[in-house]
Amino acid sequence: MWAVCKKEIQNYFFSPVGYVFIAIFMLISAVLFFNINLTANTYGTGYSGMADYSTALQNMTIYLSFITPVLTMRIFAEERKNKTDQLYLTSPLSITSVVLGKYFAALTVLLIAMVLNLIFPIVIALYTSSGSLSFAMLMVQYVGFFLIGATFMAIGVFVSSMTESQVVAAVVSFAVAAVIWLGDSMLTSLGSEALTDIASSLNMLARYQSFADGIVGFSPLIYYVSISGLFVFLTVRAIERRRWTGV
Amino acid sequence: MIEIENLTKLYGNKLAVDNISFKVKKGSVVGFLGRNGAGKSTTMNIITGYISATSGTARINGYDILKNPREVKKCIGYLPERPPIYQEMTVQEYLKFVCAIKDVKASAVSSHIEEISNLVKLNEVMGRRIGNLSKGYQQRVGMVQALVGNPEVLILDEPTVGLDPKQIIEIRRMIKALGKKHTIILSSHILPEVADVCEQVVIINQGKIVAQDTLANLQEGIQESANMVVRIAGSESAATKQLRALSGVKFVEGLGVREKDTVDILVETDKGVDVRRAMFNAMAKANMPILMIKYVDVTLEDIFLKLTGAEREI
Ligand SMILES: Nc1ncnc2c1ncn2[C@@H]1O[C@H](COP(=O)(O)OP(=O)(O)OP(=O)(O)O)[C@@H](O)[C@H]1O
Ligand SMILES: [Mg+2]
Repeated sequence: MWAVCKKEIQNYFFSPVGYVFIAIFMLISAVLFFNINLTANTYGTGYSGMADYSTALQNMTIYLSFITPVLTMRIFAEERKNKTDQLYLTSPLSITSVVLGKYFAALTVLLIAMVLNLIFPIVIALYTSSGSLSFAMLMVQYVGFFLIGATFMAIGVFVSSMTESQVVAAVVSFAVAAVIWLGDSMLTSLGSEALTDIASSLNMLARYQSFADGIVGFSPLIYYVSISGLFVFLTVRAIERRRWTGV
Repeated sequence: MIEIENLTKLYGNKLAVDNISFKVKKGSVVGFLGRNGAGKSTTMNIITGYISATSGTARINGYDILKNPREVKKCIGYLPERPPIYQEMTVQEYLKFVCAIKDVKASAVSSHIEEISNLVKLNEVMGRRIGNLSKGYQQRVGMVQALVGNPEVLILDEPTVGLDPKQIIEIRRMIKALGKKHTIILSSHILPEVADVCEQVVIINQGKIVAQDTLANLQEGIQESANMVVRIAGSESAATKQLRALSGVKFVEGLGVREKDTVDILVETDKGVDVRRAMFNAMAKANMPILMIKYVDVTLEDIFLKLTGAEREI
């Protein structure tokens, strides 16, 4: 598994993909940081000059879900198209270890981006009176942020395993992210109780709230981890299944 | 060592491999011969565990590919139709990666890579990006990849396809050398290639095995008969009827009209039987003069083409 993980990480940085992801990530964070933390005007955001990074990070989760396909779209689709999957599917490696190796590689790139992102809270800490930014709270928020990212990565990996086309994988992953963010309010507005239940089970942002408040909630943690696990499992099944159907 | 039993593969409702069975003994080099779309790659993909058969079993060393995939995969090196190489990696990086996923001990990796890349003469390009190598060298990288971990069995899917003649000769020479230590199944649609490197041949056509024998036996079979083409003035039906009546004639087949008011006919006889005089007399009596008699050599190629239903060209 670690061999696959290592190769994939190298691959992200041999090709521009890893840099592109980190660049977009930093660009969006910078814009949010500027709008929310730096400027005195509220513009349309309703925030201004906040001496606290949590709002910016919370806003970032939405953008994160839309840029994860940059890392995940090619993860299986490309190998299937080039038939390089023949290498590891005929090696003694299990499919699970291949999927996990690739998944962890994508998460590693996300972690790198998050480490670079620490620059923004550090700037806030340097320019505000001590105590207004709690380190522990910030870490909890980053954990929540990582979990949301990991969940979207797992979904993206699964989507990529279903197709040979990176473009299709990217578009479908985008659509899934959109449905997750917009579906909640849409379903709730319909007023039916069952739909509201479905909506709240889909609502990833609501579960982020406890992290934003600085609490590592047990149930949101389980929620993100199990959804990620589910999609990793589905990916393994999808690859397994294709060996039987061949198409 | 390798046992294939009643293997069938359906893609949707397209039958790609139809109930095939064959065995390969330890240490032999077997040619898997068939035209495009015959089902060679499909069979190889099943044996190596890339895809699963619809029914039937494939066993290596007694291990079933479905029940003990790990055991089977450990003793196979596979060169698929398209070498599974990563363009952006260097040869060295790529081989290290393959060693890691094939359980080669970390301490042995560098010496192992050096040893196997020596076999296919890859040493000078170890530091180059695979994407920048020529097709011939990329194919060699695919070959070394199959050799990682010194597997007992090598499965090579059309290893010389798309290479220039010099490269083809070199790759064949390498395979012959490897055949001394490994059990090899090599697929090809070129008969001379199989005749050159294999002792045993399995011929597959439209998913079915149509012949399997040693090369020597197949060749002997050919030598049992002699063929000639005769051109006769007259109609095909009348001429073939006359010819079939001659004693010593085994097989008669019309080849069509090549010259106005005549017909060309293939006549197959037992080896050493000369029917020319009897044929001359019979045809003269029937007022269908023989205009030409030409002996043709039957080659393995003819057998292959006949078995796989292609047009014979004489
Ligand atoms: N994934 C697939 N889906 C549907 N049909 C397939 C698939 N792969 C192969 N086939 C069909 O199965 C048949 C056997 O294909 P296969 O690739 O095994 O042939 P082959 O003998 O390797 O031919 P070639 O010499 O062209 O490589 C062909 O008719 C092919 O079109
Ligand atoms: Mg093929």
